[in-house]
Amino acid sequence: MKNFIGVHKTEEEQEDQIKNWWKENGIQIIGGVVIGIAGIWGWDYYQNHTYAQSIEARDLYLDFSVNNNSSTLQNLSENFSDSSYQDEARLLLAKNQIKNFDESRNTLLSVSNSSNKYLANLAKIRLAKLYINNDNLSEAETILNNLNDESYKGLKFYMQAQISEKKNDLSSAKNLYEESLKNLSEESGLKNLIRLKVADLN
Amino acid sequence: MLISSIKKKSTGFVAYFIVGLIALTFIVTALYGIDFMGSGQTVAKVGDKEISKTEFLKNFVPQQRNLQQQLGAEYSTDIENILKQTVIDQMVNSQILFQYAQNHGYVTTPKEVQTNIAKNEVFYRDGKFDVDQYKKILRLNGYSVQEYEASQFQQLTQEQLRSNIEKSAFVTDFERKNVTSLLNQERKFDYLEIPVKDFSDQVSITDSMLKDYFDKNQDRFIKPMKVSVDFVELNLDEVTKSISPSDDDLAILYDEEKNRFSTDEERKAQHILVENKVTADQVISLINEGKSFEDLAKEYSIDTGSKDSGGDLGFFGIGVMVPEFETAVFAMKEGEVSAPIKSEFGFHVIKLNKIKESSLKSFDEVKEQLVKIYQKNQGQKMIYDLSDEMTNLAYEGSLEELAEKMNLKLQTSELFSKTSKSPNKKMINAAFSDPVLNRGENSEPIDLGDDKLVVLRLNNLEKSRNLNFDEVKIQVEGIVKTQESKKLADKLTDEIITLISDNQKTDEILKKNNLKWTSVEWTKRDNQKVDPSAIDLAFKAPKPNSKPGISLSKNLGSKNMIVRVNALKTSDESAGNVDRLLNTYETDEFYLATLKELKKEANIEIYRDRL
Repeated sequence: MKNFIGVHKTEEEQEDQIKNWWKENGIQIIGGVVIGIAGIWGWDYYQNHTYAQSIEARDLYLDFSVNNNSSTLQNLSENFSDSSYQDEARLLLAKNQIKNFDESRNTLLSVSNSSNKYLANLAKIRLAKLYINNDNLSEAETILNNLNDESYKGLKFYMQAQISEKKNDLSSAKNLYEESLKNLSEESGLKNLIRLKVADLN
Repeated sequence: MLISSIKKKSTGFVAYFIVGLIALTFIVTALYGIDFMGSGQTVAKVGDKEISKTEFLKNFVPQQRNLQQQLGAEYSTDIENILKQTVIDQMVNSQILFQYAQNHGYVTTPKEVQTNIAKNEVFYRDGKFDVDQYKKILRLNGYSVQEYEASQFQQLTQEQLRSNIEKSAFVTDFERKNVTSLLNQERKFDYLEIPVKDFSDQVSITDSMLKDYFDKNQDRFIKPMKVSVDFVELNLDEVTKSISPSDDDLAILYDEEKNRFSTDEERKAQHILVENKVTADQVISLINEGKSFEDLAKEYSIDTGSKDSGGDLGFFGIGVMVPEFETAVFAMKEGEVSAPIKSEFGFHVIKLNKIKESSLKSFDEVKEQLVKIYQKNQGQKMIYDLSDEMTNLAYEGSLEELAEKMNLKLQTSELFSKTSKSPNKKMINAAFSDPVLNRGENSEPIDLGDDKLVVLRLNNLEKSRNLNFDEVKIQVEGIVKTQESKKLADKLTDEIITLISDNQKTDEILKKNNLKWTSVEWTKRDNQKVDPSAIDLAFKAPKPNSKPGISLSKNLGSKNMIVRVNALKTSDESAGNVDRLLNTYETDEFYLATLKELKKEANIEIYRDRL
């Protein structure tokens, strides 16, 4: 700035200086402003577009949660494949398929690879539930070994305890329930239930 | 330097050029709503998002006010700090959830937002959602409709993380059976209480035992420091008593406070809202033919809020209705029907039914009330001035001088310790503060709430000291006696446990000690009629096989307990709503774990010292 306007020059000199400067840099400045505005515009457009897409996906998810319509789900998977609502809808589907082990497992397996790793984790826990119920204990162990995010440790131990219980290894079940108690969230209601379990396994 | 040179030359081309450049920046920022100004100091950062002090205070202040009202004098800095922590944690959580929603494309549809607002009973009038009521309540709480709906959008979107998990949660047969049989389990057992005090006759206590205990536990026998204080109290009630306003004072106040004693004009009208002027004219001609306004409203009006009640809008004052409507109504005579009035909603045909004139209570009617208002106003002003005076006097001179100059009574308190219940907690804190306790100064005026101020100084101090043996001998004797009795009770408990598989020997030893089993028939773990310690031990005991399951506790204080579980049964009968219970537990835990994981991954900084 100091060199841009020479404070000690006369007004005409300054005027000339600025006119020259504008000649040299005017186009760049106008160009810059135009590019800037276009950028903001483009960003706005992109955001609006993303929002509209998300709303559409949400609508389809809500529709699916009421009607369980397979064409709705297909629409979601084909046109909104990177939306989390596609995974959420599959989680609903897996619940509806609970009477059919194979179907429900396959649905959950597809979610367990989701790019939304939180939903993938949820799918893994639910897969473990299915496997334990169906006596596929080694599959249950494998899927739980793939659940590695620190914060889910409490739930992981809880599921592993159930595997031990099914194997009738009650002392290991008790240990795992106790580990689970140590790792569950402070406010978790699940703790009440597990405390009963631990007392019962004495 | 630059600025001053711009000033000097602000007439020339240079000035225009610079102003032009500056203007361009403003235009661009205004057009695109870019916010270059922050809103105050940053108190926390969640990823890129900064939480400002202003935002924090918006959440904190209402909760603080609430808590202060609930706790009164109990409210302390410690509690305030906990509240600050809670509020900032909530805000961080909410921001974390919002960012998660944004990154993964979670949204809430406008219809969901609407439905959610429409079922909030706060906005109901006559058992139905009411738009005017809605707008009124938002206004009272300082929200615009857009702001409120945006906040609802955000809240609902954040709640989806949890609600979506819950929607897809399921319970397997194995889990259901496992938990059901656990909750349905019943046990049949006997329990034995071994009271510690039963053994107090059998212990012999010597003076050396007492002395020994006293020497080892000296820190338990300390008399706390106690002080008494001299104090003067200034309170509003006393101050106001001395204020007696003249009629002139009251007349001025009456003029100032007129709207307190007046009601504004209100008018009661009916209307028929239609879409175009042709229909409106048609309705008017039907009215002129003598058709009833009510019936026409039911038939023609498109205002769903009023058509069923014959277009009745009840009484309303200025500032409630749209301007065109209001202007018309407040220009009409009672009983008159208007020409079609155009507003943003369509065309109104209005009938004015009643005018409730504005009214004003007379001076004499409200004189007593005026005296009170006057006293309170003046009193608060005086308290304000007096508290200044009090501060100065407390700082400059002795408490006696202060009492004399301000015509207040010098009082003296009883002795109290730091943990005493009276006097007020704030007075106790001041009495034990460094200037008062150690330097013998007057305290600053202490605001006790309810316009009460107190200045105090130390009167008497009783130092804390170790109590000597003779002062506490009886107390020590009690403690040692209980300890020795407990040893005997424990010894007997151990003896019984070693014999427990031999019923005959157990019975003998119980008889000798005058103890008896109490039997409990089949009971579940939620049975409230049985001693909770016994239930707890019974359901902790190993399951009975060929032998009964035994458990014991020596940590129950006044007694030891042994439980003998004889039998156990369970059933698959449904035990309440196990599915819902399990779904809720699993959903909550998964939700909390996810929140924890998100927080672990995010870059969160909280600047506690700025809260």
